[in-house]
Amino acid sequence: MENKRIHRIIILLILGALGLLAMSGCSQGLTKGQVYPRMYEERPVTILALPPVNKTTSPVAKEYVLCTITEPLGSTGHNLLPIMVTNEVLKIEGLYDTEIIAPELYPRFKELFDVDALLFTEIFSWDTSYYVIGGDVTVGLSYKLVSTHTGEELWKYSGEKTVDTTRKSEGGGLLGLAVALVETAVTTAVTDYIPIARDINESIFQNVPEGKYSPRHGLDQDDPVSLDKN
Amino acid sequence: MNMRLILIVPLMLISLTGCSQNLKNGYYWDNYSQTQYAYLKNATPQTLEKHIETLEKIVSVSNRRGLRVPPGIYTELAFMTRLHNPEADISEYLDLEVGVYPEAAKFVDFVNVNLFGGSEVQDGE
Repeated sequence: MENKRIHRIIILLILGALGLLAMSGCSQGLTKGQVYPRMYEERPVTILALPPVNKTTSPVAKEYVLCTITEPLGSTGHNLLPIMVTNEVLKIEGLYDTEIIAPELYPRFKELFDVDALLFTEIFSWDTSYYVIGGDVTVGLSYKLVSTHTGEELWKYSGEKTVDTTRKSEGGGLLGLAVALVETAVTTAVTDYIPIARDINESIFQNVPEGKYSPRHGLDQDDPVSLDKN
Repeated sequence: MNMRLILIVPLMLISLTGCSQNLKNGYYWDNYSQTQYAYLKNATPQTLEKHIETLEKIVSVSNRRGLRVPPGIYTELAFMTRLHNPEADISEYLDLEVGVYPEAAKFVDFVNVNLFGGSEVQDGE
């Protein structure tokens, strides 16, 4: 009887210690409200995504990234203007070249299109590498949202992800290895980057405070921000 | 009673998995990224039609399920429809965009005048 009681106390102590550990783990993380206070002060509604700046040598990276911004960012409750259309409009206004968009031009976006925040995108890595028995693809993206009202940075984030494109050898022995080598080269070359870019963008834009059209608008200040790189 | 449960539970599961198909935070996107990429990579009448189909499906599925149509979809649909058929009447799409997202009014007006050759709307503000 006494033994049972001691056991129970030990279990309770262990559970308590685990609970405290879990709590201290949680409190170390920063919240959206702490990291992005200006988003909650300014509450931007309309966002225009400028064409990505490609710092890599990949000629296709820009299109892949462009196509995978809309779904995750457009789902955050903001009024994201349609990228296919904004690109045309930016060309008409001579604003298509993102490198030339200096702070003195920000108010122009407010004036012309009633835009509250501009999204700047930079592709900093887009590498396909092959090694003896494998291959992988690394995609790195960084974003910042800048206010057209104040020119201040409202939100920023960057993430990098490496996806293994090694084709596992099914047959054994030398022949199996040879087949795997050829398949890896082929898989790495034709890897569909859309799911990779989309995964990265989804985890990045989860950190955007919810906008006007989200039921959680203004209520997510205490949500944790995942600052670690993917 | 048990028989009814046996029938209802799998049906509920099917409808739940159906609903979760590319549904993000209450917005339905269908194959948006894929068909947009296909068009950007290789703009042909076929890839254009495919992307228009996706946009139309986003609108119809969202409306059927009582979801808000994602931002910009109506304007993009107007733009792509005009590329496909320069005579098409797209004014309804533009009105719908502004109806769902009033903050888009200025942009939509700019697009209407500068891309579609429409006349400026006098807003009441």
